[in-house]
Amino acid sequence: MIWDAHTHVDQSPRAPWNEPPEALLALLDSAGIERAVCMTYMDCPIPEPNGVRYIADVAMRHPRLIPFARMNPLAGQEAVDIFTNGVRDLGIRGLKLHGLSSTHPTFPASLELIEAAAIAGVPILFHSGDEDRGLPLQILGVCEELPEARVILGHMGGYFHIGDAIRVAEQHPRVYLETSAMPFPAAIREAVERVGGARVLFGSDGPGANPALELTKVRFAGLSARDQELVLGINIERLLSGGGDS
Amino acid sequence: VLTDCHCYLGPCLFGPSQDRRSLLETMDQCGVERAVVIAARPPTYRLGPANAAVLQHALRSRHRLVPLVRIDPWQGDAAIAEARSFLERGARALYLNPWEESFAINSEVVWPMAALAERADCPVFVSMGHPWVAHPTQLGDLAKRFGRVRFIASHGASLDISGRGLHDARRLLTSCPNVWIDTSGVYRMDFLEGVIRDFGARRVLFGSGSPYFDMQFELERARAATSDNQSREAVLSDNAQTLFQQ
Repeated sequence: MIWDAHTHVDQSPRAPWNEPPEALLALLDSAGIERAVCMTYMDCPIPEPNGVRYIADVAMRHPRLIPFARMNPLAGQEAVDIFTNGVRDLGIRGLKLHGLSSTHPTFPASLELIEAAAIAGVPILFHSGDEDRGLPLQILGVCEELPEARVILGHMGGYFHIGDAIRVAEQHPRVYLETSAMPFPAAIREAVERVGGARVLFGSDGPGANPALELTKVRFAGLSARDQELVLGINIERLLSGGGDS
Repeated sequence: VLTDCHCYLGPCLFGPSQDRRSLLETMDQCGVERAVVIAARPPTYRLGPANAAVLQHALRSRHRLVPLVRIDPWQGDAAIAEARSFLERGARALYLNPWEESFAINSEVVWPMAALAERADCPVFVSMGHPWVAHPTQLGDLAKRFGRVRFIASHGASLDISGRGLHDARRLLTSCPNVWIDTSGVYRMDFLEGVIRDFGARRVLFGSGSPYFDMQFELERARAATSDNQSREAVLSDNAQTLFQQ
């Protein structure tokens, strides 16, 4: 059983990439991936007012896809309301925040959204990488402010901040490292050795990145059979079902 | 001849190192027949002896290793003299690393190096991915100024885990027909696929960035970039032979 913790669909005319769900599903099929967390590229409700409804509709039509709502905290209470209603009424299973397209992860508006996700019992997937507002040590501030939040560091720090991402996960037991896009198989092994196999999640960032190739990266990491099972699916399934805390 | 156009040799000040034996072993494991080799930034800070060692390794490798000469533009006339000397002795291109040698790729200190490459009719390999000193727009500025020099931009001209820098990389390829890219670390496969589709497979070379990047995984990435056999041959073999006149 392989579950992908990070994929995208988006057909908004404002999106940088137009990715219908069919493109993603074909790639998941060819990689042997059973289910995938998916989200839009565009933030809701600014600039895309219908983003949450769109991703919920996609997941309704394609139950293999697990919808996360990508939100823009700058919309304030409107964003919080759309998100919490989405969890309650539309089957949204997590929150996605991307500092580059919105704001700093520890600005008050961000923390209000993150707190709403924590109260709803769903994880928060951050874009984490090499750019300001997405640095792992900036997201560490979220863990300090809201230790109850279950935080996923997407791309586990990108190209140049993997060491910081692993250190954040070492400090906070509710932080998970997600493997997509960053190019180093050895870093996955190091992450498993330092924070344990239960807190590393396979993600592809497909369809822009190739899920089959991203899967190869995990297989090249030289993990034990048990750790590979955890990373490739068991961990994200547990996290989405409300478990997974170390 | 399966050729990796981007490998480092010798002790490195900043981390992962490999000697000739370990590089050849890795190449054998991956089925790579030939590698373009560059001196890693030596702990001694002295590029001259490191270049000399790379040249010696190449001469002893029975044509499996193709040497470049790494120069520090801040050394001015001394860098020019060193480049000339190594080109006469078999180096196939200049190598510039704006991050490790601390210069902007379009700064005036680089111009005499590019002028030398133009006179010597040799390519210039540029380590990209550090936006402060080697943004695609900066390389474009240099490549337009020296339109007869062939520039090879590592990492698809941009290491950017948000994918946004790839827009500038495409603009670079559009505006500068004298720029090629290598595949190392490029996470968005739709970028590589799109470059091959829109600019032709002749603009893309397989490069791993070994030992910093994993040669085996990077080879999988390059292979996955196109399903067309002729294009794949160009990326994995022909383009490097043409550019480096092996």
